[in-house]
Amino acid sequence: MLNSIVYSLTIEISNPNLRPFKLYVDDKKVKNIELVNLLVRYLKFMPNMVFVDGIDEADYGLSFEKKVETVNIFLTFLKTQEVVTFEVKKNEDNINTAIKLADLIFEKITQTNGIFSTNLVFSMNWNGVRQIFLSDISGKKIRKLTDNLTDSVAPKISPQRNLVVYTRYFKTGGTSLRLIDLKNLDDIPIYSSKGLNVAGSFSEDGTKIYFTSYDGKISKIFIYDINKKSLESVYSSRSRLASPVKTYKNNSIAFVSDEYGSPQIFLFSLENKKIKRLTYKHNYSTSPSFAPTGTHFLYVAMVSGINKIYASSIDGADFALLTPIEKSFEDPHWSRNERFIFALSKESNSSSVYLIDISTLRYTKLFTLPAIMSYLYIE
Amino acid sequence: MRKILLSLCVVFLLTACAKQKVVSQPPQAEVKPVPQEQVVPKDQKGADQKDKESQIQQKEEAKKASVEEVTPTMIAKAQTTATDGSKEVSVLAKKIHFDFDKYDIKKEAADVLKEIADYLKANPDVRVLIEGHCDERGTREYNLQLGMRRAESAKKYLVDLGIDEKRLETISYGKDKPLIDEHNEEAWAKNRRCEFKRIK
Repeated sequence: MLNSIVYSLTIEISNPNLRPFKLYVDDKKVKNIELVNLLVRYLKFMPNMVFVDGIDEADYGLSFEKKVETVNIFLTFLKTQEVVTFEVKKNEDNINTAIKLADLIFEKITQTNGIFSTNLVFSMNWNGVRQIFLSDISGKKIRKLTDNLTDSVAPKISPQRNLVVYTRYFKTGGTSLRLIDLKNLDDIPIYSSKGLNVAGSFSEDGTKIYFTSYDGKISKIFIYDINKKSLESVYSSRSRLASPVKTYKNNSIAFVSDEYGSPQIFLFSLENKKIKRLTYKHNYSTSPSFAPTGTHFLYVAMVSGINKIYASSIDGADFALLTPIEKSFEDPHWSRNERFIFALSKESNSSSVYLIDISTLRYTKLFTLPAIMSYLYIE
Repeated sequence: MRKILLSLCVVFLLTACAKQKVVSQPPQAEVKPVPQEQVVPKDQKGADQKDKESQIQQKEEAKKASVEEVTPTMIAKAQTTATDGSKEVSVLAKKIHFDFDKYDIKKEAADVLKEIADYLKANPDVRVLIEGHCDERGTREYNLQLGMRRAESAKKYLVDLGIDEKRLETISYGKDKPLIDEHNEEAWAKNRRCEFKRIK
């Protein structure tokens, strides 16, 4: 049995919204409406949402009313009898509508950002060439964003969910960074050079891209300003540098470096240019991802050949293993409300995206594809 | 009339070039610990480098992203094995191997690189792409960097053996293209490698 103290983080304990939500769904009158089925399906993705059989056990009730042109949805706060009504026109895009509704219901109940409208980007083989894909959290709506003749990998989506940056290979060596505008679908090169160029993340306001470039001699971290189309080299090293990511606080970037012989996570202040090492507990610590409040970060540590996800406070005092099972995970990212972790796991000829509840460590499989997804990133 | 046409052509060319602009501004800050290299604007670079970059940029075009919606059935059908279609029969078919999370050249690898260097000396028109690969352990982005170091190690060794570095290009596929899709030490050892591809 897991020791809840060992596997708990301060942010869970201090957050009153992390308790389970007991929901009673009365969908008897509208059983066969696809929108309602989808909505309930999305809400079931929420590990903290407990579906109860009777209204007496519930904190919240969800009921429906079918009309000629619309479906009315009622969320009742049973303690206060407050009712929130959502009116949805029939014949709308059911998937998008269900996602929006699920988020609205989630936000009403938890008073935190919803997770259902989260966008996922990843790379996947498509007829022998890896391309970039964009998906919703159910894997029901997947769009292939690129149709390149050479491999395209490591996509990152902006916090505003309007831009995707990715790395495209050249046949004769070298790579370029390209930027897709999801509104007008422009796919433009923003940086080409010899060697390897890989984006780590966008800045919080979506105007800058942090990326690494290695030309065979020195690794550098660059900041590319999308509006000014300018480039700033902020850090360089002879060590391997990877995954420069936003940290939400203190105007700094986190990144991976093997400065001391094995990969570890470091924090680099853009203000005073000082560097602080963040990870000490494992020999192989990579893939940093910062919580939106900036107090904690996730990373992947390789323990006995298995990639395990850990969360840690910046000072290292608050530390937890989030995947205490014999399963390898990659690319962990926080949900915007800091309640869940999205992560990728590979099976033999397939791969799955998981949602891990950080308060219970329960993990829910969001979807599986019959292919190896890689370089998962979410916003 | 000719002036108007000329002006229109200039405007068209400027507009057409705008989307293909590649960043070329110098950096605004430099930090330690390694003396920072300037990000040199294109027009200040050496002629060779300029030519090389223009070759790269010729292949880089602005275009429209795809909007194709795909289903699990389509995804399953698209999982063909990636091959470059070429069958390398020369010494370039040989591979060199590395220890876990390392990129230094071992004795056996040095012998292979010597053979490759001899082949390249005997075939001065051949240019080679060195691909760095890793085993499945560890994370993808970090393994991309490791694969690149492996490719660069092999390149440096060949340069030290007298091969012109302009004939050698490098790239990393990290752990994305394993030679053997198994999960044991034997497979990992074979997957930690550099491959050598003739550039056509």
